Order: sequence, then C-alpha cells, then structure tokens
Amino acid sequence: MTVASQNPIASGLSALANPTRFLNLVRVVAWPLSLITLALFVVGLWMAFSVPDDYQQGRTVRIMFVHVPAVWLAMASYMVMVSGALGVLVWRHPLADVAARCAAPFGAAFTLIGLITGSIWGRPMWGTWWVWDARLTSFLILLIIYLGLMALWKAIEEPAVAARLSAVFVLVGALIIPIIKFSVDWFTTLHQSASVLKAGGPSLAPEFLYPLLVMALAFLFLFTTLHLMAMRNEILRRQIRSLQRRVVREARGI
Amino acid sequence: MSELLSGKYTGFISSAYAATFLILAIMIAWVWLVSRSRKAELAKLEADGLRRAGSKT
Repeated sequence: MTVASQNPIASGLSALANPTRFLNLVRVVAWPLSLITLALFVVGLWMAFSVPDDYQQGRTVRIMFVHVPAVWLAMASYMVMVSGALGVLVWRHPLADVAARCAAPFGAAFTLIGLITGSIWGRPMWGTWWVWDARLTSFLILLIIYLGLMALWKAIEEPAVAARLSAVFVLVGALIIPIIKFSVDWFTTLHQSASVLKAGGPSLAPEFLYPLLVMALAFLFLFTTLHLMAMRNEILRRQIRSLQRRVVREARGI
Repeated sequence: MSELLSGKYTGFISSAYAATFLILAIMIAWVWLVSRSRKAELAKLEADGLRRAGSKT
C-alpha cells in the first residue's frame, strides 16, 4: 500500500486512521521535514546573532530567540494534546490517543527550556533567578501537569481506559493555558506583557521580530518532525505488543 | 558570533543556548534510539512469526 494510491490528503483525517497508512506517510515526510528543520535552525541562529543589542536589555535580548519559541511550543504542544483528547472522546479516532500521548514529553521538554532560559534571562534583567509571580508559577504548573499526564499514561495498563481517562485530565488541565497567557494582564508580575501575539499586532521591532519568527518556525518544524516520529514509535510499540500476544496465544494453542 | 563570545552577559547567553540545545538534543536522541530499538524488535518478532507460520505449513 502506498500513500499516493490511498490519497490520504483527499480523504482527510479519517484516511490516517489506518496506522499502516500513517506509517507510510511518516516515512515519506520524515526526511524533508528534518532537512527543513535543520535549515530553519541554521538561518534562525545566524539571524539571532546578527541582531544589534537591545537598548534596554543589551546582548541578553538574544535569549529571547530560544526562550519565546520554547514557551510558544510548550503551549502549542498542549493544544495538540487537547485536540487529541477531543479526538479520543468525541470522534474516537484511533490515532488521537497516540497523538495526545506522544505530544506530552515534548511539551514537558519545551516547558523546561522555557523555565530554564527564563530563569537565566531573569538573573541579569530582574536581579533574580526566580520569583513566585503569576506567569512563572502558572508555567511551572504546566510542567507539573505534563509530568502528571505522562505518569498517568504510563500507570494505566489497559490502553482504552488510559486513553479516555487521560483525555479527561488533558481537557481539565487545559485551563492553565489561558491562565498562562493572560497572567501578565490579570496580575502584577515581573514578566513583561505580550509583545508579539497581541491585539493590534506585534510591538517588537522588525530586526528582533524576524529572527524570532524564524526560530519559532524552526521549533515548530522540530516539534512536528519529532512528534510524527514518536507517533510512529508508539504505533510500532502497539504492533510489537499484539505480535507478542499472538506468539503467546499460538504457543498455548500448540 | 563574536559578539556572543565577548561581553558582560556572555555566560548567561551561552548557558541559555547550551541548555536549550542540550534538551533538544536529548529529545532527538530519545526519539531516534526508541525508533531503532522498536524496528529491531519488530523485525525479530516478524522473523520469528514467519518461521512459526512456515513450520505449520
């Protein structure tokens, strides 16, 4: 079976419900996506180190080019989990649980990058590594939610139960996303308010905005590539399990 | 790049980038290593399965 012969794009998401078709799709897109990701990182990093110093933050403004994309992807990963959770609960899409489950470790990693780089940026700019204000605390809670969900998926042996229970927790945990986003507007925090994703367009100067967008695109492509490959790994794990069960059944039958 | 290696905040900037790329590298290595081991395991099982099926016929 080939991707072209089944035309998965034409038949939409339902065409990808077949794991074999999905594995074929991953095989086709993995290398192009990896090369695009690499090219975006090369261009993004070159742009990041070509920018002039910021008039307030000096050279440390360069930390923004890894901190902000990581934070965006930390929240985007959660939205992938939310759509996966809806896929499990509403449409019962066979790959929805795989998609949600596989986004969690990357979301946790991006959240960790956001926390570490934010802390390193905070020391010279705010004079402190950490402060328990609304933005920083809500983002730490996001990391804890990710780790909790990963533990939940691992803890429940029965895949169907794990999928549905985790999906409910993913949707409940989604409350943290608007809290993170608007924490800088609702509360008094050390963290600055939004300067790119806000009403009225970005207020960031173009020489900083363009490298930031290229780096964000690089992070997005990296996430997409790794997420698809992790989904493939998870499908293979399930295939291995069913093969092992068949071997056991056949051994007992003999 | 020379700007990164000189100046007052070099340590902060380079450690932020180092931490980022270390975590990204761990993510990539993890996916790649799992992929390799799964494929090897599946190939072994399929080989066993084929032998099993072959012995029955």
